[in-house]
Amino acid sequence: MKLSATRRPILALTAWLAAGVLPGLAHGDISRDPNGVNVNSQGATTVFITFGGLQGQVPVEATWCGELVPAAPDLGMKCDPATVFGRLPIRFDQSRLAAGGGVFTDIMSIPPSVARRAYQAAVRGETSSFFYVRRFESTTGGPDEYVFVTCRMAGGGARVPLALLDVRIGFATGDAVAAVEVGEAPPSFEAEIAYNGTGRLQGRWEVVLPGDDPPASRDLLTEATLPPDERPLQRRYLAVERFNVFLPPTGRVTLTGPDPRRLPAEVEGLYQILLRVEASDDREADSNLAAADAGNGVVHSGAVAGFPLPTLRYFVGSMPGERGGDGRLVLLAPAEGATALADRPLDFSWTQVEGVLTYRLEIGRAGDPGSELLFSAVLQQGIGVYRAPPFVAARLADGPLRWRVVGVGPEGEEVTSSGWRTLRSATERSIERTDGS
Amino acid sequence: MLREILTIALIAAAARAAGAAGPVIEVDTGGAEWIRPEEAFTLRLDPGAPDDGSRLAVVVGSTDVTDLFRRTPEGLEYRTDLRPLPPGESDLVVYRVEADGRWAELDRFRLQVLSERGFRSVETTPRLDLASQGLVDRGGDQEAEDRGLDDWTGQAVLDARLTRAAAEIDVDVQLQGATADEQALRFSELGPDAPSVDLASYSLAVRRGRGSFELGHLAWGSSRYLIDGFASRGAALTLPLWTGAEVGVAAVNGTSIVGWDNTLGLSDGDHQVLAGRFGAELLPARPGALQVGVTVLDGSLRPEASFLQGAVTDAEQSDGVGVDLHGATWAGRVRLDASWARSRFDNPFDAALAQGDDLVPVAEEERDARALDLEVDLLSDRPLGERFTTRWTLGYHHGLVEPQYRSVAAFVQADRRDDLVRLTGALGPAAVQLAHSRSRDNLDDVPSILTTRTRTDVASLSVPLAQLREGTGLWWPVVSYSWQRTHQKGDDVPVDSGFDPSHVPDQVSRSQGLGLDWSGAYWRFGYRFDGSDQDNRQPGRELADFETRVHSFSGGLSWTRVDLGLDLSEERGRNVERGERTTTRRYGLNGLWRTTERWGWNGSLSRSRSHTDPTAARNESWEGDLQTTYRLGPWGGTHGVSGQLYLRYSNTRFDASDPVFGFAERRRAWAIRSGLNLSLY
Repeated sequence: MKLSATRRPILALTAWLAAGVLPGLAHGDISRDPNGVNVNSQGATTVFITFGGLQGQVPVEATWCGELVPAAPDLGMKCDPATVFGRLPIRFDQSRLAAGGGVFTDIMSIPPSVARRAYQAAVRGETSSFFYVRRFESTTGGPDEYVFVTCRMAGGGARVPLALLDVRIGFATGDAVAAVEVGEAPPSFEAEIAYNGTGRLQGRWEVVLPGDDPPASRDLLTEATLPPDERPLQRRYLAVERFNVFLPPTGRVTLTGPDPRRLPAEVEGLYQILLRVEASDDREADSNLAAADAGNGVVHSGAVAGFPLPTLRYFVGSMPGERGGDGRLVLLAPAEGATALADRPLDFSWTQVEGVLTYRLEIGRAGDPGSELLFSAVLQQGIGVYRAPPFVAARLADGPLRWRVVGVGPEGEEVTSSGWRTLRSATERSIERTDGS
Repeated sequence: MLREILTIALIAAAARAAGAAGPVIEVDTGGAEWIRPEEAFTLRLDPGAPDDGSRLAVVVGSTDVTDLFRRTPEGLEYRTDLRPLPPGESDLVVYRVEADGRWAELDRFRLQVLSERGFRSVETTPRLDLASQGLVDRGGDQEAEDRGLDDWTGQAVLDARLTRAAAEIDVDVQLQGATADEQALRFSELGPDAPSVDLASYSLAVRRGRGSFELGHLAWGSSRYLIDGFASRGAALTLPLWTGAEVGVAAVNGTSIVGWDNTLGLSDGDHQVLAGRFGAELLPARPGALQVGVTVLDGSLRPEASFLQGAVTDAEQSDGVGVDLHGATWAGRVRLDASWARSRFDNPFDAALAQGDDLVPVAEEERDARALDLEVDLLSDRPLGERFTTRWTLGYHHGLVEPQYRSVAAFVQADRRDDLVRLTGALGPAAVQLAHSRSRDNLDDVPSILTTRTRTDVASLSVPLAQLREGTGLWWPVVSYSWQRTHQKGDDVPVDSGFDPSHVPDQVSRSQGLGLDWSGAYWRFGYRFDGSDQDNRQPGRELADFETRVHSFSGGLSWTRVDLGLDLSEERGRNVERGERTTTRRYGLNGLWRTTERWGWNGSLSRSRSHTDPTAARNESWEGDLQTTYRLGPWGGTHGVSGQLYLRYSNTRFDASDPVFGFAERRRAWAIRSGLNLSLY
């Protein structure tokens, strides 16, 4: 059903009543904070809201709409059925009712299609603000109570609560699950984040080790999505690195993960990388409990998100060192896992095997078994030593290398081969973090 | 074996290193322009080459074949009896290796070969890994149930590359398995119904010349506003048309998925993206001088997120067309990228959003987006003293995305006009960037919607001080610095909107970062500072300001068998309006000791402490972890079994309290875990 521009005076009056007058006249006992927020007119918005003063009432559905009408005989103002933009989908409902039942923490995640409906109404000349109405049902037979929050349409920058709207985590290789060999670093990874508002994005990169109890759904929410007393209940895992970066009011950031060499990979098994986002101090995301009749203090809820953050997996398998070798051809130097300087001579040596015509020394990128070799050298029987060109040693600066030797017979057949060894740089630098600027 | 010998061509290329001293080199193929793989050829050298301790090295492709040459009176003769020339197309590069080990390129030639019928090469890397985790003992406050020794995880990986003549086939398959439900790949999506063994990814790619066919996980598209590197599961075909022209089509799932369901990615028509692209060189004689691409797209999405994504999603559908233009001229000193797209977008019915209500319908919108990027090299590798060069590039970006613009396969911010000017330069090893940008929203000028304008200034500098000095510069760090100032301000209070002046933003934010990095043969050390300030200026928010300062140190030592790492950080935040100061400190230490070839130890210890004044909120965590591993095997040859045993002790402590909110949480937990892992390859 389309809203008509001829209804504009009525709508304006309704908005005026809703925003300033009716709350003082037709409300019940439930309060909330914030009672109005700026929202993104072109996309999603997520806001932390505290409802307090519940007395034998439980929250039911939440609805967005363009107009309010008196809820009588129930309490408060409810949505005009002709102007409903949508209801909070269950997939975004991260709300929590406190154990005592008097306080309800709501996470309002406005889907882009709701903002689109409101925007199109504004283009048609109707008032641009719209309403989020939460219905509370009495458990004692009393009337229902409707409590609304006003949504004012703006850009998604400053004055809009800091919230994460789209979080994509991925390895640079594009793998859904990275396959890593023992002792090797997983591929580099990052989180691409779309957000509203501005402020600090702070938290930790953590790793769930093989054998650790896996994270529960609560552990995957950002801290700001939880009421304050539940935040310390989130389980903690091995912290790899903290991050604390400033998000300008421009809506996008790429958060580079820690140096992948810092991720554990000594034990075989399944690992999960967690992006743990802590609540940050953002004025627009604050929820004043006293104003909501929900206690004392101000809940800081910067970086709220209406969904669990995705986890990134890598599986450490196989064995480094002599894996794959047949034991006849033995590598002498460098030792397994040895470090080398990118600007120093890099010498390889191995034993000789009878029946081999030539040896092929193969050097590739560690952690990427399927990739092409970076360099190889063919040497005749009887030599068993090779000094790599400087430009090969320089490749260490890009990450660990692996190497092996293959013995080739007179007909070109592979007679024997060693296992792979890993070679690392002693001068590797840490990966710089991108702060989205 | 039926062998069809094709050809090898040696084509002298004009790639002699400028100023490189060395013997004159000619390739003697016996007068033949094309030679056979088993046919010897000779590198003729100037007999007057100096005997200064240097030697020659020959690299074909990426393989050093120097040892396969023998010296003859004429020069160096390649011994094809030891190893036939490699098939395919590759470079033959002759280097002079100085006595001090330096390699200097002397000459470069081109090799082209097509070899035999059948697969020229077959490379496969199959692998199966199984890992068991068992709990030996645990204590403290544990919520989860203990798991027994039958808790297994595993993966199977197959990488294969088959090459036949001009065609190449790549196959990658990866499976994941777990015996515990919550470890299953799709547990977050399907819960206990998630398969124990699931398909993590697969791809099949067949390439022949400029044509290709891909199936499985792929990334497709190069239209900035329509579909750009869209990663999903599906199929894509690219066919060459004429010189410099090609056409491609793709059909992929609406989001990136894993699992056995929807194996091809094409089974759900309501959650699918279909796209096509035609691309051509408008000046085929000058590849890259002027390229045009036309993309069409038709797609629809259910309100679902990708496997590695969390998002506030919607049901969406869009179709559109996009044109991209890329040009470069004057030896590439002026470069141009332009994009335009028109997309028709709608939100189909979403039962989860309606929940039985009659919703105000969304009107279908047809909107445009455009962008222009222009770069001009003001200076290009101009000498700067004796050792360095300098180069400077001026860039301009204009972007305009109309309100309500949306494509189901592009990550675009709508209702935004951006203009940016950027100056980037290099002074020897130092890199500099300066940029200024302006943007605004509410491009429809809807009077009841807030209009916001943003001004951003950015400066950054990176200087590797060691490279500025001649000789060694071990103690001179790499210095990096960045600064950014953003001013975002709303226009007047929108009419009929519910706004009052305090709701209209007027904020200046500043951030800066300084990094210092040192590294030596066996050590590295880094310091980083990040700071930011938020200054709110609108009525009623004048004091709603924030300051943050972060100092972090990291260091590492690395020997043959021992690695040590140290991290220290301190974060200080100040909420001016509330008078709150929050300080977070973290100390971390980790180490690795490879005791023997088979036995190793590694561990970590970290402490993080945070407190806020004057609310007295605090939390503190300790995490300790020590594990030892012992390698078993390998047994067998090229294909065999290896294993690993491990034992791990972990201890965590966590305390949190907040007098304002009235909670005090205290947790202690320790556990000893062990495991046996097997790898079949």
